[in-house]
Amino acid sequence: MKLERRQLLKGLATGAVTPLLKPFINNLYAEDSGVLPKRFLFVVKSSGLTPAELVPADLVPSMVRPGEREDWPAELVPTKKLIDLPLKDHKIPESLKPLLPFIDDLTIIQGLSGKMCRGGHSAWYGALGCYHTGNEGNPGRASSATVDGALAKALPSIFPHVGLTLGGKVLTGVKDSVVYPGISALDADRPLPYQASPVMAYKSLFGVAATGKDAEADNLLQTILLDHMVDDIKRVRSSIGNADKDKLNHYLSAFDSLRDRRRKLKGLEAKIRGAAPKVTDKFTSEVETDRIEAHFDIAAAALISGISNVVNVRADTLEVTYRGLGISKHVHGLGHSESVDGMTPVEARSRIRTFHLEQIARVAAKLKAVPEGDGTMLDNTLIVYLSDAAEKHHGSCIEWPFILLGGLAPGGGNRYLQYPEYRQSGHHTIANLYNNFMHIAGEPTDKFGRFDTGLPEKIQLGPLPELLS
Amino acid sequence: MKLNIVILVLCVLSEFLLASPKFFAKHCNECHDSETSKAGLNLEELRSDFSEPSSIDVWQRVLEQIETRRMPPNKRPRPNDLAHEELTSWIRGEFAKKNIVPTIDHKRKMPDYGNYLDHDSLFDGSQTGPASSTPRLWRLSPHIYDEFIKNLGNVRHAATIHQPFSIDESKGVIADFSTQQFADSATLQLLMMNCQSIAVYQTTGILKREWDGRMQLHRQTPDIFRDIIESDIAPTTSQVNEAISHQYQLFLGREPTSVELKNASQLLSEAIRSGGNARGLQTALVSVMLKPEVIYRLEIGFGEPDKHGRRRLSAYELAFALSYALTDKPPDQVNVGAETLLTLARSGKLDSSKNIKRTVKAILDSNDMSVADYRMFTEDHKVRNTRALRFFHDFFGYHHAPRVFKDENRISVDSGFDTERIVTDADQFVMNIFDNDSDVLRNLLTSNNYFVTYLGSDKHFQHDLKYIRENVNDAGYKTNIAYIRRIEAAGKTPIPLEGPSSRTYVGFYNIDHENWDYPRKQPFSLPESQRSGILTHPAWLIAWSGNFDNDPIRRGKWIREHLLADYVPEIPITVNAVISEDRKHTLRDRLEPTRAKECWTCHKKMNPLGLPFENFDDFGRFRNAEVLDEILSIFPERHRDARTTPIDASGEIIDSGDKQIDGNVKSVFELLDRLANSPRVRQSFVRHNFRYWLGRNETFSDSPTLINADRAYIENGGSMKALIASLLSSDSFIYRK
Repeated sequence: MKLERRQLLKGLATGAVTPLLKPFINNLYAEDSGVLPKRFLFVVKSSGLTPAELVPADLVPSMVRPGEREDWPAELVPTKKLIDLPLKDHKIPESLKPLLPFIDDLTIIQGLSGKMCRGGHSAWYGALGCYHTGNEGNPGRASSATVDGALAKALPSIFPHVGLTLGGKVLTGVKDSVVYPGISALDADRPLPYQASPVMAYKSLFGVAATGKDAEADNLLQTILLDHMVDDIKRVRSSIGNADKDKLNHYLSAFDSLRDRRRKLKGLEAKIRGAAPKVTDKFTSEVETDRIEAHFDIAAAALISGISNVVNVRADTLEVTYRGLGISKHVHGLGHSESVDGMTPVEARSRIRTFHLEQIARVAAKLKAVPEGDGTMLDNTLIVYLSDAAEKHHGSCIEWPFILLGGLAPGGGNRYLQYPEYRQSGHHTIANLYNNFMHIAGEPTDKFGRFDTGLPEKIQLGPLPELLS
Repeated sequence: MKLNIVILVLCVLSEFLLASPKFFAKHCNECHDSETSKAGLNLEELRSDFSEPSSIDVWQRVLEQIETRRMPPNKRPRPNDLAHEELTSWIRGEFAKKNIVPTIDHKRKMPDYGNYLDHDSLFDGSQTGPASSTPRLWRLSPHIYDEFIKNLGNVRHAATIHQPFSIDESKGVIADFSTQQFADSATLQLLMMNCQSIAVYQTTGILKREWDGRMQLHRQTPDIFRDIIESDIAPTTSQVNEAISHQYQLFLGREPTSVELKNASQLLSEAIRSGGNARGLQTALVSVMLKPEVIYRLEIGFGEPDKHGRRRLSAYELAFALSYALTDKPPDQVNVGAETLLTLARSGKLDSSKNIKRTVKAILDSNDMSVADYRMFTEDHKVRNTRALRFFHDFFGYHHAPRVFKDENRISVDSGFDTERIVTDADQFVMNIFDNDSDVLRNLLTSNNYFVTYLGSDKHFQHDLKYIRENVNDAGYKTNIAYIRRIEAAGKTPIPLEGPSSRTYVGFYNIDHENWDYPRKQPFSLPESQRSGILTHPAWLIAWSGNFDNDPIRRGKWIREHLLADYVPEIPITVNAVISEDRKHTLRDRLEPTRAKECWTCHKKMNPLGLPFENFDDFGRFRNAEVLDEILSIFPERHRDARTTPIDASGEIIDSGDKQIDGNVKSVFELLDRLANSPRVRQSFVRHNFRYWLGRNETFSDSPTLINADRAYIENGGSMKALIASLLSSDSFIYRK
């Protein structure tokens, strides 16, 4: 194996490698030269991530102003100059406290815009892809890869992209099957699926690690079945000529990839067994917060076991009600500032955000507990928290806050960054940030998605310079 | 050789470079040169090397505009067909060289873009076909899968069966389109888990704890499976063959071919060696359930070819195609007289278009097609044409009413804003018209014969009213009884709904719930001055409203696209479309900014068609005045002192494609009446039917099919069933090429 790997690397040096193989080779090369794998975890909430709520508590009087109406969230005061502060010198906002133990790896970014996207309840694929698509209820067309899809290609693994979710499209409620929330795409017209059932996600990701005689027989039978199906579909394909060949190829490649995946998973069996989460009642619970916790357990295990380098947790949809947090109103109602038992809508939203960040902190702690290279897995990971509706329930995309956590955070952690407001000198867009991500993944891009035609093109090119370390 | 290529390229390029500026100069530059740059497009700057991404974007737009004949606009001189063809072929050729897929090709396959095809060319008889569909695979719909699982007995109760398939849930779009549905690896994983559960259910059984704590074994095991799993030795060849054959019949409705039998036997033997009789058999059973033929409807055209090179669907294919067009069941479960659809097809009784038509009609009339997914349990309307009902859902989108979020302050909890019930009323409205099958489209657009809380029969009415009278446990019992007595004392019939707030929902039809004389026989007439067809039904009005207001733009867009077979371009990226929240003004006034020149080009296609519906509020109630300064709630008492202004319900039909109906309208009723009389609207209805029943967009070669379907509709007195029968017996449906 070692020799083959060397040969492959040699091939790379002489330029004899097809572009398709390149990411895979890069990975081999990285492993061989002692460079460690890189991992991304995206956490995408619905209903906006309120900028004012991310401002350090001691800076609130100067940097935050009241909302337009009573009960509406307070607003961030736009800045004309870049604000770049060490977080440690300030009081971390209340809902971000779960992340306090990781402050050295924490970056809060404010003031980027994403006006190339559709606003409203969701920018759909645009939120991670930087383009305009969809309408109120429909994600529309994925016109190119979203950043999680692009990273999945750049950082290949057995499960290139693991999507976990509570619901389907933004205006739907909790689901129990494979869904397409319309926020991630591997490429143009290739939307990425999300698993809404934690049990099913567990089975498909970690099923191979089951032990015992029966489990072994099951694994063998699965192999026999998959081989048979591949042959069967090929026979059907040859009998139907060119009719809708793509669809049959899709079906065939689904079997092929399952077969291939099983082979690869076999090699990682022990590692998977060590990392697989314990299946608890949470996995089958009807309570939304339990299911979210189960999804985060799965996300951590998928990254730690090495079966995936890119995971996206769609943390909620608008029809989700956080009963487990004592909130009696669905996220949609809270977004419209409706009354809710025992708290203000703003408090309820803050409670939800805290819960999400607690989950992120749990994953970060798990990653930090695993040594890797000279440090820990968290050093080679970036967790990205954002909303597909940008800054508010009906997002305008004129500002788009992000919370970044992990050793891969561009420009290092312990930072509060606020970019100059839209059209001010020094302003940038989310596309710049995604260029940073691609840069980290070793597949640098200069332009991500489409331009916002209201801004000069040149400021939308390349990564955010402030975050280049 | 190289030199030749260079010369050739130069020739082609120079040809274009000469031709294109001429085309642009003649037809485009007046609006799109460096000075005018209308819509931000300057064709003088456009590079023709197709290497720059931003140029490619523009070329994509140019191709789309030219091919859909949207540009040059109607008022400008039209390019001749040759010039048109030259330009589009050249752009396509350049795209091909760079492996760029024209976005218009993608769009043309999507349901949202069906209207991209020039309407007049489809109906003027200039296109002569011959019609056919391309051979295709069509993934099962979730409805078919549900029905399929239901037929497997108790397995749903014993195991968790996941729905592996999903379809588009967008409003006003035909959901089940063949091009859009495929099975990928995520779907496959779910399918495999379901199949495994079914195989266990078919063999050893599934042990499940019941509600009372008792463990119960659920199974449906045929004798042949039982013989194999209960034996300690490997099954005999005849047992193997019988078991495989059983599974093929169950899931595919046919015997395996000899090759299939051989392969399945091999699999079974190998699996038994690896996992024992029971698990081995389960594996083989799963393999049949996962066959592409079970997941995809195969419509390849295995029949004989004709002189045009088209191949007819084989009898087996046709049986499935018809069966799944009209029902969610396979053809061996659809009865036509004494036979099933499958036996009819196999015995050659579906060989002619005439016979297919008769069969389709018989199925549509037979009223027992599949289990209803709506609450229409009426003796008058035994129809269970759920596929037809789903057409109306997809087409009108009114069933989305419950998904439109209304702020709770506006409706309050338990207020009687019961959108589910309103949708049921609408289902009854459209299906009653479908059943009567006379002047269907006109009635859909103009009938004021509504259903409100209709329980289906007088028997059901009496049953429910008796229940309310006797249900002393209901918290509102005393109020209910007082209401019933008061109404009956006035010589009227009470509403058969329990609870005062439930009864208030009739208010959305402008009916006074306190004093209404409930009609036991329905449909009944609502005032002509208030309701006219489904577009004035609260279900449609709510479905096409916003969170706080009416939505004249989307209502207009719906009419433009669904009734006028036209399309409205997507909203430009640079536009941040927000309607002013300043409620000092009417919604009509707040839409005034869309009259700006750059907006009006598109908005004139929508706003004037949607604004006549201002005679209704966003809860679907008829009104003569609009409340100003405050957000409307469903509680009239809250707005008693509000400032109001009379409704201006005027509108206009602009560039409809039917000059007879263009012009100003004074009211929504005039608008709907005019639309209902237009051949263009009828033809648009035919086009949307085509897309639904055939699961794809029409092409020019389908023109004869559309014309025939339109004719069938007219000649049969506006019969939608005749229209469907015509479509399903057409060359487009039967032939593949």
